[in-house]
Amino acid sequence: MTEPHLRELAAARAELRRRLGALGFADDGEVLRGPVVWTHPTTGIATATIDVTILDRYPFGPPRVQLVEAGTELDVTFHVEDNGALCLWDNTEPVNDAPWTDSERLLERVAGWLTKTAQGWPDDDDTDLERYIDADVDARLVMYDDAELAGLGGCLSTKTDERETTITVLPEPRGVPPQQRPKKGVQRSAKHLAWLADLGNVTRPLTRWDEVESALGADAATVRRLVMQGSLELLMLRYRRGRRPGILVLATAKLDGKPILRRCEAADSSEASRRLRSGAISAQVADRKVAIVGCGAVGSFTADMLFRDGVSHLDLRDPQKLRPGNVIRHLAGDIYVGLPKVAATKACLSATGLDVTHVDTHVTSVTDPTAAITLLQTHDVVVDATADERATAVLRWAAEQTQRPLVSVAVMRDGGVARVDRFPLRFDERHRPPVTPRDDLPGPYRERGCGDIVSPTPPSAVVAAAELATQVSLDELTNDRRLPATVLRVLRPQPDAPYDTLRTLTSDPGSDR
Amino acid sequence: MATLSSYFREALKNIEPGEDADHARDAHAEVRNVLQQSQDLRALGINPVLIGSYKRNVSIRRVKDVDVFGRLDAADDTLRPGYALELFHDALLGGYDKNRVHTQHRSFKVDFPDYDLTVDVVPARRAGDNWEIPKKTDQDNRASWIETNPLRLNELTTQANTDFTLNGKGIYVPTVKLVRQIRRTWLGDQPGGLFFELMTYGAFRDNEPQGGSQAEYLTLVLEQIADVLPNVAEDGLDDPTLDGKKIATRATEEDFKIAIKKFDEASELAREALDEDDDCQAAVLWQRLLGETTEDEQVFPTPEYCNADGTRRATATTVKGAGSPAGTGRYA
Repeated sequence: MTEPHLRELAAARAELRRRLGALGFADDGEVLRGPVVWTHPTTGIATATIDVTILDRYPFGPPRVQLVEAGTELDVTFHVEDNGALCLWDNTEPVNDAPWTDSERLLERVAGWLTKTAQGWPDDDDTDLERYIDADVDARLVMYDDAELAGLGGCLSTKTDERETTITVLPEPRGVPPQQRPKKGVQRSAKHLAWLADLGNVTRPLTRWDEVESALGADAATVRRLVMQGSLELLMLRYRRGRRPGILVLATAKLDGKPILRRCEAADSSEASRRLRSGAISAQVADRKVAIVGCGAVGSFTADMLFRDGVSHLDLRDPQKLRPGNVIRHLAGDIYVGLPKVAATKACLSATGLDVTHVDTHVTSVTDPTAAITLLQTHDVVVDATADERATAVLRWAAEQTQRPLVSVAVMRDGGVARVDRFPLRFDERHRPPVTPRDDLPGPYRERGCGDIVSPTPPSAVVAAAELATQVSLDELTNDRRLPATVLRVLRPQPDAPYDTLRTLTSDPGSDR
Repeated sequence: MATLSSYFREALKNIEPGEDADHARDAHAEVRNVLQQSQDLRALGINPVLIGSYKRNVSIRRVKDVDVFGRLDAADDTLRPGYALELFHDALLGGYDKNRVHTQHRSFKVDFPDYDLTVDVVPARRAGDNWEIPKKTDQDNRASWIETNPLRLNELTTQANTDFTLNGKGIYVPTVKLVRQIRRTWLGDQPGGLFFELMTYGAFRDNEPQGGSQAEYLTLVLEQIADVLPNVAEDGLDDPTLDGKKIATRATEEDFKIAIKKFDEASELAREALDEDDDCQAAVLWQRLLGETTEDEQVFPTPEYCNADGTRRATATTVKGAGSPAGTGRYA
């Protein structure tokens, strides 16, 4: 008995077969072969022949379409998979109204692809030359800092990590190694080099060694020699498609007396490349200064989120060392136990590969009102993640004196509620009323002996509170100021209203809204 | 009573010599080195030492002169004062351009224009437990010896600052500095700073004032000075370093007349400031008493919570309102 879901999939595939058949496609049970009428920009109407194979992924992905014959002269260049299949849609195409399930739209797409190929793909700026290389794949990830390599060319040093999972092209120009003498090996210093060249604007993909060699122009003979004598390990080829720059990275070697290529996955490790993932506001907040007082559980995650969101000027303050028991709720892992919490947090920020030059750490608390005033005056936002009555009081006082923003964050009711209060209040704003403690909760706990009280707050609540503090801080840093003075999130339904359902509660926005 | 003790600490900082102290040390070391280059002075056992208000740590900004006591440890009573002055003059000209060396009655003044400072160098020979320095009179241009003991004043100052303390810290030296500052504010050249330093010394030794703050000590000492100044003007001021001797002063009768009047006013002002209950009002009075530094800045600061006119500044928030609105039982 066929499962209902399999019946549904079979019916969808049969429907496409039936429709293509009606359009003149011959079906051998595996491949459907048939005509596509398209317009060549110079020779006019032509009829191509294509093969359509309905894959297992169908209808959640398009069928494979391969060109059998174009019906007129056509130089196939871009938008072809390595198995010869036409690239008709990318992954952004919605599946709920998938055009490939409609046979006529499918053939229209193929016709359009043929016309664009004949036109040389004008306005196309896909920088994906590596997909056209007809070669095996090198397992290593090649890393480079595009900003550091700017203006360089020729031989560069490389460094392979101990696990041989990455190879990094260093911005260290090297002289071209001399011709290898017969029966003498290549000197160590003349090995593991990369060759960086600029191919300019490319109009067709490179697929084999001879095409790459041809594109290298005057450097081709040198590059071939270096590959053949074992000096060159990588080729880095800058190019442009339309206005967009790209880099094609290929591993090189000698096999059976000939140079060969291997495709590499390459990644730009520059700050700019990493920051592309920081979000749209990262540039806006890059130079804003944030102090985080208290680098425990909530403070460390707040630091991490703000840093990843683009805030690179951080001032971290906490007097304590990281203890084994802290690790479960702290950003930093077990290897940082014994370090000051601020140092452990900074080490974690550094592990993102981003620049931590402007992350300052201070193994200290903030108890002195004058120091608190200075802290507020010298930072765009101060985050109070201490949950310490004295520290919060002095920071609140300093924020109100200086009229500069303080964001105070805490988890309450053992992780049932996360709350952020922002100071100073604007106009007639008011904070939400206090959250009364529950007396029916277990704990608090203590570590063995006379250790500090340990809250039963779970790690997930810590991250939720940090996320809330991050949002309120960013609201200040971007000058949006749309968020009210208190933002409270019920993380676990509580017995008493208004905390008895999962919801976000805010204070009255005040009359300035 | 507004003692404003933390602001008195700032006032004292404001009259500290600052970089003048470094300059004074460097200038002294240089002059000492120049004197020791002289073979004649080395034969007489030249052994210069710092004296004066800078050495006693009672100088106030700006320090414009430093005193070097040119002890001649090997000199006997055959050494003529005029010859000693000649030797010092020659030695100083060996190290400095003649335009920088000026001859005075009993000493030489060496200019340090880069520091805006002068160093007074005086030759000295041993006379029992005391010392003698040359004195050249204007009338016959002949030098003689005159007895002195400036090193003894160094010792007396240290001892007084040990004997009179506030919370275990010497109160004598800071009080002298404040009295010197008041003198500089309220009087002209004479009587000079040393004269009032010694009056302060007398006030401490004779009256043994007891107070709980710098403000009280200063007021008590000023009142004592104002009280005895008329008699001192009449009879002279005892030299605490030499029994039975009086302190020489260039102050005229008119100078003393003015000083008596002004210090009377100053002591009344100090008493008014001390008795004032309002800090801000008191600060204005202390400011009038202590005047300005040589950089034209108030010696006595305006408290942060006061306006310059002595009224109290409004404060927006009190500590009472601080704290978390979230309530208790927070974790971060």
